[in-house]
Amino acid sequence: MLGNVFRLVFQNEQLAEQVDELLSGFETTRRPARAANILQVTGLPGSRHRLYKNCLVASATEAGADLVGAMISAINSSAIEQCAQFAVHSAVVALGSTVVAIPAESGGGKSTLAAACVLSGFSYISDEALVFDAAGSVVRYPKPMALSPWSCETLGLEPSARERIVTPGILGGSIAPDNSKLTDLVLAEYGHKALALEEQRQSAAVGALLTHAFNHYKNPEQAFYQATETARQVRVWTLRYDDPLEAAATLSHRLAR
Amino acid sequence: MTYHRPVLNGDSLVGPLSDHLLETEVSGDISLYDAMTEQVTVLNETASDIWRLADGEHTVEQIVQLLAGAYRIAAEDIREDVGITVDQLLEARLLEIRSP
Repeated sequence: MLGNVFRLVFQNEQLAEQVDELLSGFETTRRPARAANILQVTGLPGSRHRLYKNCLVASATEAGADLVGAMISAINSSAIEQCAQFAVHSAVVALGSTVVAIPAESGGGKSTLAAACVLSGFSYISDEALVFDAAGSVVRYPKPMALSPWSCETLGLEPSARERIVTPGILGGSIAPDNSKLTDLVLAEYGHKALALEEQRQSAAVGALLTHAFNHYKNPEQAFYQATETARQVRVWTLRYDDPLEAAATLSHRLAR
Repeated sequence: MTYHRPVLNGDSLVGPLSDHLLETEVSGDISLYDAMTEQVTVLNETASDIWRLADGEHTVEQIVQLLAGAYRIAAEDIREDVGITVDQLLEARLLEIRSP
């Protein structure tokens, strides 16, 4: 995941299979994981489960399934923290040769919009991070999407009383092929009754990328050049929306090349 | 330490304050990165034009005249806006007033 290896250990085989399916978008490797990247879930069906990270209890619940979200969240935090490349908080989806990033802060609607895009025919790259490799291609980070009960309802999915973890496959979609180049950057603003997608000057992307970067502080100068270089290569849009599905349909219609 | 900015007038020569400003252009707009403060500033089209002319060789009034010629409008129509923009760039510690 973003160049890092994680080792997940389970007592509960049923839970192991569930997590295995949710993380099926990631490569399995024989490379060893560093100690901090070993996560262990103890507990058998019907008993109390505990999630250990780096030998410390990170979470505990009666039902193992309740730990899945916590585990994915813990893996995500570590993967992002250890990511060596410039990484931006962003949903990323693709439609043919169109690759769209939607940067936003946590809780800014990235997962819901990413899921809406998958439901509208986009393939999935990430609901969390826009990351580039050394060649400037977008790195796939297909972490399963965590959808709130509100998101499930808005997207017309099976109602859920708590957060639901879904893969693009569950939504009837797929993961985008590797080595895609970013073509569009969408600055999304939720809460506007009238849907509007308007093209902006490329320079509008510079601030957005740096504002939502996870790790620009590690090498600010490199992040500045990466953000400006990225901005030069994409079309930049503002999207004002209220209904994520309607917004995704508009992105599909207007941005497809 | 409190920073007291000199008063700006039409005869003021203005130029970049810091020699550690990184500058790059995206779609004609200037983006600046101050390596000391780690602050990023993205200038709009007009501010970018002013920034290009604020090289320590031009006064504010010369910038007004050059832009008025380039935009084919009367100098008095843009004098106030140029003054405001230069003032903002001074306030942001991106420009400084230089001695002739």
